[in-house]
Amino acid sequence: MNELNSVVRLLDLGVGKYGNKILYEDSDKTIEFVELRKLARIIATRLIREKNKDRKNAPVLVYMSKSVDALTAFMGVLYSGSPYVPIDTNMPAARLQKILNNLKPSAVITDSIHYKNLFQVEIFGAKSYVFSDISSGEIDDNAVNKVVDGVIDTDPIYIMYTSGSTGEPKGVTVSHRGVIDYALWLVETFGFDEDTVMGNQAPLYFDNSVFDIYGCLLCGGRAVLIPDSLLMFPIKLPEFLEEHEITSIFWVPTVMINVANSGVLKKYPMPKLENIAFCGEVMPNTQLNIWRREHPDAKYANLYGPTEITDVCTYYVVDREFEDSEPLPIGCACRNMRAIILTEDNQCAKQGESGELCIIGSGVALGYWGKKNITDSAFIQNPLNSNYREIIYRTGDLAFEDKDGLIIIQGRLDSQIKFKGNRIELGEIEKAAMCLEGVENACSLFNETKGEITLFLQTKEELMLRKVNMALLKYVPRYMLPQRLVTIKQFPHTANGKIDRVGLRKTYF
Amino acid sequence: MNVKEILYEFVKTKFEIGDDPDYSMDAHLFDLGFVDSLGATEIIIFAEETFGIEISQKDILMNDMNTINEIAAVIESKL
Repeated sequence: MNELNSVVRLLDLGVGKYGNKILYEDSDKTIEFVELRKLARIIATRLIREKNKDRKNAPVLVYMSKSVDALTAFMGVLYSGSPYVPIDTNMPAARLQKILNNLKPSAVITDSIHYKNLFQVEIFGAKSYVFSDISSGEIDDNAVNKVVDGVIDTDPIYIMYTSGSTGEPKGVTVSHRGVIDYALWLVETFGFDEDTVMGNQAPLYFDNSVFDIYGCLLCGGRAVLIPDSLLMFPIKLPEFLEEHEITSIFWVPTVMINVANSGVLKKYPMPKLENIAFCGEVMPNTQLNIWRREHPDAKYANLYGPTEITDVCTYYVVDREFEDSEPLPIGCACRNMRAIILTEDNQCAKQGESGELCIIGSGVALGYWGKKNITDSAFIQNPLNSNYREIIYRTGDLAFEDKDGLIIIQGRLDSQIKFKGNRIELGEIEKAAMCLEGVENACSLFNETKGEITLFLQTKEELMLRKVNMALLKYVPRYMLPQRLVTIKQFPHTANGKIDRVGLRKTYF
Repeated sequence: MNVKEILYEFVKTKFEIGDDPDYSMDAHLFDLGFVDSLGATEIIIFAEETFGIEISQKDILMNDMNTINEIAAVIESKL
């Protein structure tokens, strides 16, 4: 029984240990371990009974707002032996259709607000359920136990869709083992326990949320879902953290940058906040130093991991002072994971030598759902190993190992351009621009048609290209200077809270 | 000018809306793209400084604050 073949075993164990303790909380309701398991098994009973026989373990789409109910639906799907697929309810119908065409789900669970959106798309005969209906009824313990016993840890737990560079959504498929290993590592590394209270920022269709959902499930802590309406006003987040006595946050840097720039950190001491982790973009030291000045005793951790990994594969716990202009390392591999850096001719890079960061281990995704070709090109046999099958994921990120053995990310391989005979890493220009006075955020894009490097800066006041370039020369060689400057008061953001680079291109190129 | 009008003019100027016919006291500032999600913070700071009030995270959670009318209503309740 205690064998961890499925993530729901963590919930079974949690019920025994933490019983009536609250696990998840949103602005409307809370749910305890016991109640979560009960409702999830009601949902599973219904799904198992009514699932299409020929699509028995096919995925179940969860099309709901960020809520305790959505998390309950996830667990219900897992008890039924299928992976869940969280979908952004604000997604345009055309994109949702592309996903459905690829996924062919066995069922859809939605809520009363979003039910009608499903009338606009073809769901290929999948049964659709409204949460309030499917979460009430009886439990068939025998049927549920039999299904869960049959799960093995290499079975998929979730599928999360990311956009490829071509615009075709790709369904990253992750295993139970990946999430179990990750949760064990999280709890050990951060020392999470029953007193942990996490302030969840990430949408549930973004893999950063795996941190909050499964970290709390394992340690007996509580995850508070921060409402989307409040995330619209980052300046108010510290007040929320203080009121909910949040002890740990795991946010995208853009949100942390906006909070730091607003000056509001001075006003709210947030005495309970102990762990501040971030992932998803480069975290500039300029803004991290603002946080560190206000909260010198907190533990800061820079985590790294593309969606194709179970949330995170390398980490660096900040253990020294950093100048604003220094890069923050992403550190080294998490437990049961390995990071290697491969040069262009597939050799292991020497210390200090740049190459593509590649990841091996249980957290590596199983592939892209129903897309063999692109799976085979991103998940490949380790070229350093000719003795047995060992799959690595090529991240597409350029990195090197510094003298302390810590990995430093230099940018995307595909954001490396060749311009007037020089190799230029656009990320480097961004990093340099972040050091300039008054610059709150920076984004550098290459305009192929005009052949110019465009630098976008988020600033309060308009800046002149000439003056910016003079200042940039302190950090980058002349050939890297941008030809065009666009100053914006607030960058557009994607649903995940990252800079909307595609949107910037559309508007300004 | 009353609260609504002050706010209306501020948003119009700050976010360079000009004479867009879709802009009104009841226009959804975010869905219609007049203000991006993070620009919302600027409106709050402006309101707090101009009217000498404080809008708490609870106010934001308990009230819809998507239009000039809705934001003005929250401000007026605090004056």
